[in-house]
Amino acid sequence: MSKKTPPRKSRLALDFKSATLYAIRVVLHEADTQSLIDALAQRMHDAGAFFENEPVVVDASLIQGDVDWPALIDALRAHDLHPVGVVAEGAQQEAAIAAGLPAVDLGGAPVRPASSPVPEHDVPAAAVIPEKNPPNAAAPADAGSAATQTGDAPVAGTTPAADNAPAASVAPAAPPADMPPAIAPAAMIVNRPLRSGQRVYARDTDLIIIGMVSRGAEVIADGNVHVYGPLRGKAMAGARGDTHARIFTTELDPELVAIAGVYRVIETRLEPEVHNRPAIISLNGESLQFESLGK
Amino acid sequence: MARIVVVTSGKGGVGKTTTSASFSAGLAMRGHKTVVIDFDVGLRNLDLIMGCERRVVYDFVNVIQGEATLNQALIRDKQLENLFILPASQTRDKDALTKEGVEKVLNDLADMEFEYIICDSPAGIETGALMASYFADDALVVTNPEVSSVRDSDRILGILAAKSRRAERGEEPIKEYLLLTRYSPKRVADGEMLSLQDIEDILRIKLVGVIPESEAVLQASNQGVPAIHLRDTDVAAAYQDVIARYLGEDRPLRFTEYEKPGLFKRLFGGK
Repeated sequence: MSKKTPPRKSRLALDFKSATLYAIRVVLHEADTQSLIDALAQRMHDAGAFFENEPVVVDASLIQGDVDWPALIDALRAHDLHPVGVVAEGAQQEAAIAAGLPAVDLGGAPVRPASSPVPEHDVPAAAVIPEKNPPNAAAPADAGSAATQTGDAPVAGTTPAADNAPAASVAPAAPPADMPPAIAPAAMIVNRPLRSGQRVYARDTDLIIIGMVSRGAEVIADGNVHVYGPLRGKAMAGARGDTHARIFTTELDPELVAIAGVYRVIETRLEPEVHNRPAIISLNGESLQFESLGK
Repeated sequence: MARIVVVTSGKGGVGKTTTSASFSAGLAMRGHKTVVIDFDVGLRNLDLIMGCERRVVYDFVNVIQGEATLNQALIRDKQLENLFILPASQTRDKDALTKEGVEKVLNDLADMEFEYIICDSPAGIETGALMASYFADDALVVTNPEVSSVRDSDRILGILAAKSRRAERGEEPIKEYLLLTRYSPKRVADGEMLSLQDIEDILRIKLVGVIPESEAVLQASNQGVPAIHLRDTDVAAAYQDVIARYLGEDRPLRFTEYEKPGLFKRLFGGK
């Protein structure tokens, strides 16, 4: 007898789609339930409202011993944390499941899709805007400011461990509006020198060249451009408009540099602080800024 | 298995044919069975430089198109029994060169037990030059110490790395050797010419030798003899060094330092 299929309605009442959930991973270092509850109270006190109402995965993979799961779950809930799963093995896992926590697999680090070479005709012809008021003898910016970097948008799928100090993520500086928080393709790495006439374009990501970029060669990226070697050709970062992109090199001697379409042809020699030295080029408003990276 | 060496540069007039002649002669002098092929279809020069222009009956294109056999087209050098020349066609154009045709000729030469096949490339980056480089195992990149030559050499290096058969098959890349020609240490010292170190820094490939600027080269081509045969000249010595280094021997660089001539020499002649 065949199974009777349920009658089809003209429209389904519900649907399954994929979703990604950010969760806190509470890593247990001891099995003694009371210690755990006390430590939890301490952490929540220190963190203030930061972790409230977050979904939580309990990671018991580091401990041996019996945890009073119902008590732990109640304690988490008392702090407005919502346990949604457990990472554990064997008897540990079974006990947690019995208490109502489903087993979850957090998996490894997200694998960034590799970036593949882009055909010639896809290289964007960025609307080039010559730099306004290029300085003739610009004073180099303070070398110290070169060291700080703005944080990147969070990568979907990572679960920040609860025992990390919540420093980076709490910063009120939101990721720039033009950068979608999706997994970016891995930076394109080119491990050979680029000769005159050659051109490389890294779409949607950074470009890293290990080797020199000769005069007449072009390195282009939607993200940042890094050249570990003499940069003697043309470098264009933020090719599709990302004004936060930068150009980094260990030996600066370019023909032309551009960020988000704002370009400068280097006709006269650059300032000695940056010429043939490690340097960073960034966009400051509508003008390009050249900073030395120190010795 | 024959080793295929392309002598190329990008820029014209820097010394490719001069070098092809002397390089192949030098290898033959050392007992290696060598053939040198002129890839400059329509503008053949190699036969003049080698002194065999009156003995050309059939050429490279004749062989590719099946109008003659290799044995009919190859010219044996009068001075070195190990050295053979395959001249270019003077009447056809570069479209006569096809990849399959060239490949067959190179394979047939290898079957004839040639150890070295030297391909004298034309200038430029078009068909003739691409065809000459495509099958190469080694490349001698001939460069003058002058800015346009250096840039063109850089360009041709990029093409060798990307458009050769080795590159297409993902095999070990062509071995690149830098050969500086028409080098004048005095002009380098005066700041008129790029120095050896400058060029090495820009191109970053292994230097196989430096050939000094010399009147001997003109004398040699007028006589129809590869410069390496003019025993007492600096050019011949420099080319011998190049062969030695190519074959793996260690030789210190000569003819690269400028020595200011003494007072008398400056007063009474000498450069």
